[in-house]
Amino acid sequence: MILEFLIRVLIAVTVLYFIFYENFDYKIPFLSLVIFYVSLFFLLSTFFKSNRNIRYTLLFIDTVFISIFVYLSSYPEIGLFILPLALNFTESKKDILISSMMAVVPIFISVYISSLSEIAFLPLYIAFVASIVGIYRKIRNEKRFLDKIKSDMEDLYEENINLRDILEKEKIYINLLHVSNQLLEKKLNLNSYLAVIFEYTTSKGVLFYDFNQKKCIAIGDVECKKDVPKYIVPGFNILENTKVNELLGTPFIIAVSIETNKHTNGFLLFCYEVFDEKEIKLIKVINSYLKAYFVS
Amino acid sequence: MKLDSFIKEELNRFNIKLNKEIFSKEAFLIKRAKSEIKLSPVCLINKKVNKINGKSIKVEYIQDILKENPKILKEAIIYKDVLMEHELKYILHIKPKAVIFKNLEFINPIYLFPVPLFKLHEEEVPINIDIKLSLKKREINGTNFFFDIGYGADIFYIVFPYDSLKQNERSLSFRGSFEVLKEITRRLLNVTKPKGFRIRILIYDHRFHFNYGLKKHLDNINISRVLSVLNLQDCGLGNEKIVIKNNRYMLDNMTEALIYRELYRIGIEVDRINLFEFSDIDTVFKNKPIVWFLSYPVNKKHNIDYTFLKREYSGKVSAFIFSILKNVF
Repeated sequence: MILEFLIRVLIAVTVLYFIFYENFDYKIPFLSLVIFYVSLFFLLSTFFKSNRNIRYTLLFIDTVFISIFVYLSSYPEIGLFILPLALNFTESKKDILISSMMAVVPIFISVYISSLSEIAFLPLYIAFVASIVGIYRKIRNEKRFLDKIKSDMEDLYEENINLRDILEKEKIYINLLHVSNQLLEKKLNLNSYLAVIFEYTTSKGVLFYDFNQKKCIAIGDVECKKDVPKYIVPGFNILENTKVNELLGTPFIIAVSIETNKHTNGFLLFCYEVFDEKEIKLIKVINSYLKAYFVS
Repeated sequence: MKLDSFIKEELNRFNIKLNKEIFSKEAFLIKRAKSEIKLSPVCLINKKVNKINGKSIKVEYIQDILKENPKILKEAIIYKDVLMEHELKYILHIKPKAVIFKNLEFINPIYLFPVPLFKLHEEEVPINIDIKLSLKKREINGTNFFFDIGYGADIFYIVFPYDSLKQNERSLSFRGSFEVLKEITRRLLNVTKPKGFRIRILIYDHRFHFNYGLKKHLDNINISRVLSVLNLQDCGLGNEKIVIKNNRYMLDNMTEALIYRELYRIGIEVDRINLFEFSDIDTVFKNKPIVWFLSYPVNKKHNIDYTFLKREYSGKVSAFIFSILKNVF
């Protein structure tokens, strides 16, 4: 916007220079015409900033005014100023067609005004159109290249997040392995171990009834109830609509008994609001580690 | 362009009247931390504290110690080898005097935190630590935008936190969720308006990492009138999961069952996850169900340009969020 305004100001300065250097008779009307042209451009381009089609209107106004300047001042060189203005239209074939059609008007008037002495303007114009086509082709190629990179990156992004998803799911098992090893090496007590695995499951609470030490550990949003172990059968059970659910107040419970040499060491209970089948695998791994803990 | 003016400009196309709320907050920048060990401060703090002294306790797993003796930890300085982002929620709960760590595993860098966090440049920490802080007062200003759709005394909140520090208008995390917000707003205005309650869309700067703008907004509102909350932070980037566990259970079982029934009806499968990024939005809305479809895991989500984001992601998310809004609430 600022650069386009600068081009218009340069046109105005050039026209005024010719007028005042040559001492024209009708200086004041010319001056007001030039000021009107620059201010018209400024107003239109600021008021219709968001409208992209305004640039065609602006180019038309430029063409008309430059033709008038050339005709009135009889300086054919001013007509050349249409070329940098038309250079902005390189995005599509329609753009090139419109800009080259508009640019031909002041050029022809310049050649006519100079009574064909400036005939070199015509090949210059043709060279200009050729170069504009060259720029258009270059931009088109770049655009195609960018589109290709974009679609590649989109695919890579999709692949990346899918892989990260898989990694994140497996990461839980790696972390569990690490924590469980610490439990087996007695660096971590059972209480902490249960607190850490509660973080990895989506359960509402974890309960552990320890028969060896006769105590109950509760983590999360559940409370220890004394009667619960009576209603649990040893083994791996998914409880739904049973007495245990009623006592603990959760609709789904996974109950695991931790047995070593036919002796039950305790019950591990995971309480769920909504049951997630994917966590059975995780709980089975936890169960096997706890068995190993009670053997040692 | 600034993010808030960008949001205003984009939302003005819907011909809605945006209400504005301005708030400010005092914070303290730690310029220097003098101690016998070499420490460097990581974040700004809320309160003016010039001296920190106490016993240091080495912690392996923070969640377990919380259960045993939170009172001892409150008077202590916690030392941890690797501080993970989701562990901040336990620190927020305990509120110890300070936290020292060696390595940080954060997805989002933190800006303001009530407990001073220090990075350690040495191997070991002595048992008794004295830290002298030199502070500088800073004022943080922020703006909330909100508008209502529909009429009624009960409010359903759609919150859109953005982060003016990490995000710009071209960053993936901002643009993905903003497209979802725009699409939901468009549908709510043109397709079906809510009946019997109103939907309030609240847009606020999340830079404080503490939902401070949201808290300020809720000061003037009767929380019992809030029906439920939909959080749009970092969604629409693919890999949507429903967040169910943070400091507490985010959803009540009734809402969760209804959401799952709706998702099953449309034929979309969404995994459930525990939140492994830090957020305290569930402590702001007490006991209200929070629906949050979070894109997790997406790495470098604040730095990547949004041109590489497929439009399908945000379209899909806004479609099923809208159908949940329409049929569940």
